Amino acid sequence: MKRLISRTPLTIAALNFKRLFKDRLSLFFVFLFPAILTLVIGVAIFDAGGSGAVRVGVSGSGTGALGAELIGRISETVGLKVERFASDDELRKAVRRQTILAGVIIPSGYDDRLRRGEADQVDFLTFRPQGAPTVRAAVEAIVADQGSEVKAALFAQDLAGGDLQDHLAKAELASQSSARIEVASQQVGSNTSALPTGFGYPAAANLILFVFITTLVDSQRIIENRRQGISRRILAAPATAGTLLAGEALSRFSIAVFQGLFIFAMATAFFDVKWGNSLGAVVVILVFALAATGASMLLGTVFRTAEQAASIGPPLGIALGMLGGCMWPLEIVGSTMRAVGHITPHAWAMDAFIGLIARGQTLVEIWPKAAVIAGIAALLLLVSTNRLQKAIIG
Amino acid sequence: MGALTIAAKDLRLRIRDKSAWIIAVVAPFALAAIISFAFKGEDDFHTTMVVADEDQSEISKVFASVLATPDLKKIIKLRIVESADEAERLTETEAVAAGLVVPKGFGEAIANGGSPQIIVIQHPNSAVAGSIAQNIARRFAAETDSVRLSVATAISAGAGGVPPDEIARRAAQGSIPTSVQEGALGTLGQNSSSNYFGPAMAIFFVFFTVSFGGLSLLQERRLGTMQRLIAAPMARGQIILGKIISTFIIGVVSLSIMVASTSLLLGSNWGNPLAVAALILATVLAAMGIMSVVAVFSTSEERAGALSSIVVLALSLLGGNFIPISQAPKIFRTLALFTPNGWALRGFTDLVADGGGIASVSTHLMVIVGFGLVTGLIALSQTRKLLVR
Repeated sequence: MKRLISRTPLTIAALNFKRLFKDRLSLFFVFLFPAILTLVIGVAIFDAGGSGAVRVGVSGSGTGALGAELIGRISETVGLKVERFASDDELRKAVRRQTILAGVIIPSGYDDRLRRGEADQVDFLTFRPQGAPTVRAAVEAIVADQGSEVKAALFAQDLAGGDLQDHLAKAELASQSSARIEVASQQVGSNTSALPTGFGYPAAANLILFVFITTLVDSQRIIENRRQGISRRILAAPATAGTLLAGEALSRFSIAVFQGLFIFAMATAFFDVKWGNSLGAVVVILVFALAATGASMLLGTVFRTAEQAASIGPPLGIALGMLGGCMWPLEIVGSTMRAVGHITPHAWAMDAFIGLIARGQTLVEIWPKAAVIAGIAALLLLVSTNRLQKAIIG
Repeated sequence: MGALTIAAKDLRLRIRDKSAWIIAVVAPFALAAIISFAFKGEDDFHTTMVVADEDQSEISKVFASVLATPDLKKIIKLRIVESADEAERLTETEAVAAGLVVPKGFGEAIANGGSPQIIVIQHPNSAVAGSIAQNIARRFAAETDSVRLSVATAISAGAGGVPPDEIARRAAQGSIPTSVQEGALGTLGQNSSSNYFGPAMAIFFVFFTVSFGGLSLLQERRLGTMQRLIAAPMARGQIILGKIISTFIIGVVSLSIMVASTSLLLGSNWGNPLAVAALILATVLAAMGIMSVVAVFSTSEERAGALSSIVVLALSLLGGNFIPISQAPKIFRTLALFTPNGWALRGFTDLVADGGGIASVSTHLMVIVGFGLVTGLIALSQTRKLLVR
C-alpha cells in the first residue's frame, strides 16, 4: 500500500502525458508551431541563411545626373541592395511599415542646387528604435564622397574656368588616386553584450516563450479536474492532497521539460544552433520549466473556469515574453524597461541562454541566473500549492 | 427582441468577468505603455567620449573643435586626455563609451600628402556610441580629404596661374555641400514608436477579446443552456444575432478604451477621429469573422482556445504586429497583405503619419471589412451545426 501511494504522482503525470499525445492539435501547438516560428523569425529579422545584403529603398524625382549617380554609387556598395520606389511617399510608407529597413530620399533639384554651389541634404529614413546604423554610415560616406567631388569641381572651375562636367570627371579621377585619412577602429574590453547570431536568438526565445505558454494554457486542466470532481475522486483513493498536488505539478513539469528539450534538440539538428555548454542549457530548461509549472498552478487557482484560463494564457504568456526579451533583445530597450523585464523568469532565462550561446559562458557563470529562476519557481509553487490545497479540500 | 435580450445577458456576464476586463482593457494598455516606455530612451541619447590629441598640430586642433560644436554637444559629453593609452584605459573600463585618438604625426602626414589614421577606440558593450564616434571621425576625414581633393582637381584642371599657397588657402574655405539628415516617416513627421506599438498591441488583443463570442456558443452547448435557448420562443437566428451584437459591442468598447487611454495617459496621437472610429469598427468585424470561423470548426472550447492562439499568433507575425519584417523574403512581405490585422495596422499608422481623413484609408477599410464579411459568412453557414447537435 505504501508503494502505491508513493507512485501516485507519477501515475497522474503519466496520464496527463498520454492525453497530450492523443490530441493532434496539442501536438502541433507544442512541437511544430515553435519550430515554424523559429524558422520564420530567424529568416525575417536575424537574416539567418540569407545573403547578408541589406535592401535600401531609394526615391526621388527631378534629381538630375548627380542624383542618378548617387543611386548608382549606393547600389555598387557591397552589402547594400538598392530598390527603387516610385515616390517619396511610397518609400516613407514602406519604411514605417517596416517592409524595408532603410530608405534614402534624394530631394528634387539635387543636381541643380549642387551645381550652383548650394548645399543640399539627403533624407535617411529608418524605423526607430532599431535603426540601421551601419547602412546610415555607408550612405553618409557615399554622400560625402560625392559632395567632395562636386566641391572640388566647382573650385577648379572657379580657378581655371571651363565646363563643370569636365571638372567633375577630373575630380572623380583624382578622388580615386588621392590620399585619404583612414579611420581605424580599435576594439577594447571584453564583449559582455554580444547577442547570438542566426537562429540562436529566436530558437532560445521561442523555447522560453512556448514552454511557458503551453504550461500556462495547461492550467485549464487543473480547473477542469477540480470542477469535474476528478480531484476529489483521486482524493477518495488512497492518496493525500499532497500526492495529488505533486501529481498535478509533475505533469506540467514533465510536459514543459519535454517540450523544452524537443525545441533544444530541433534547433540543434535543423537550425544548426550552437547552445554552448549543453549542461548549462539543460539546467536552464529545467529551472524554467519549474517556474512555468508554478505559474500554471497559480493560474489554476486564480481562475474559476477553464475557458478563462485558456483565453488568458496565451496573451499573458506573450506579454511576459515581450517583457522578458522573447520578442526583441532587452539590450535594445532602456534601462528601466530592462529592470522591469527582469521581474519575469523569461528575462533571466534569456540572459542565461545568451551567455551560453554567444559569450561562451559555463554553468558556473550562469548559475546565479538559474538560481533566480529557481527562486521565482519556488515562490510560485509555494503560493499556488497553498491556494490549490485550500481550493481542493475546502 | 430576443437577440437584444441575449446580447444584454452576455454583456452582463462579461462585465462581471474579471478575465474579460484583463484581456479587453488592462493587458493591451499595459503592453502599449510598456513598449512605448521601453523605446523612449532611444530618442534622447547621451554619451560620454574621450579625445586624445597626441599630435597638437593645427589640423588636429580643428578636429577637437568639431566635437565641441553645438549639435554634437547635445548628445556627447567630452573628456580631453593627454595620451592614447589613457583614452584606451578609460574606454576599456567603460568609464567613457568611446575614444577618439589623433596620433602624433597626423598633421605632418596631411601636409606631405600621406594617409594618416584617426583611431576610434570602441567597446563592444557601447555599440551605438562607437558608431557615432566613427561617424564623427569619418565626417572630419571627408572634410579634410575634400580640401586636398579640391587642390588636386584644380591643379589638374590647369589653374596654373594661381600660386599653390593661394590654392590651398582658398580650398580650405567652405565645406562639403552634401549631408545626410534623419528623414520623417510621414508627411506629418511623426516617428514616435508608441504610434506604431499602440495600434499593433490593440489589434492583437482585440482578436482574443472577440474570441469569447464563438467560445460562449460552444460553452452554452456544453452546459446544455443552448438547448434551453433553442426551446425558447424565438428564432435560432436571434440567438446568433444576440451573440454577434454583444461580441461586437465588447470589441468596439475595448479598442475605444485603448485609443482613449493611450491618448490621454501616454500622449499617443491616433489621428482623424472619424477615420479612427471607422477603422475600429472594421477591425472588430474582421477579428470577429476570423475568430468565429475558428470556433465553428472546433469541437470543444479547449480546442478553440488552442486554435485561436495559433491563428492569432500567425496572423500577428505575418501582419507585422510583433516584429519588423523588413529583412524577410519577398513572399513573406507580400503575405502581410493577406492579413486584416496587417491592413488595420497600416491604416492606423497611415492616419498618424500622414494626417489623412477617412478617404485616405478607404482601401484599408474595404479590405478589412471584406475579410470580416467573407469569414463571417463562412462561420454563419456552419452555425446550424453548432445549434442543433
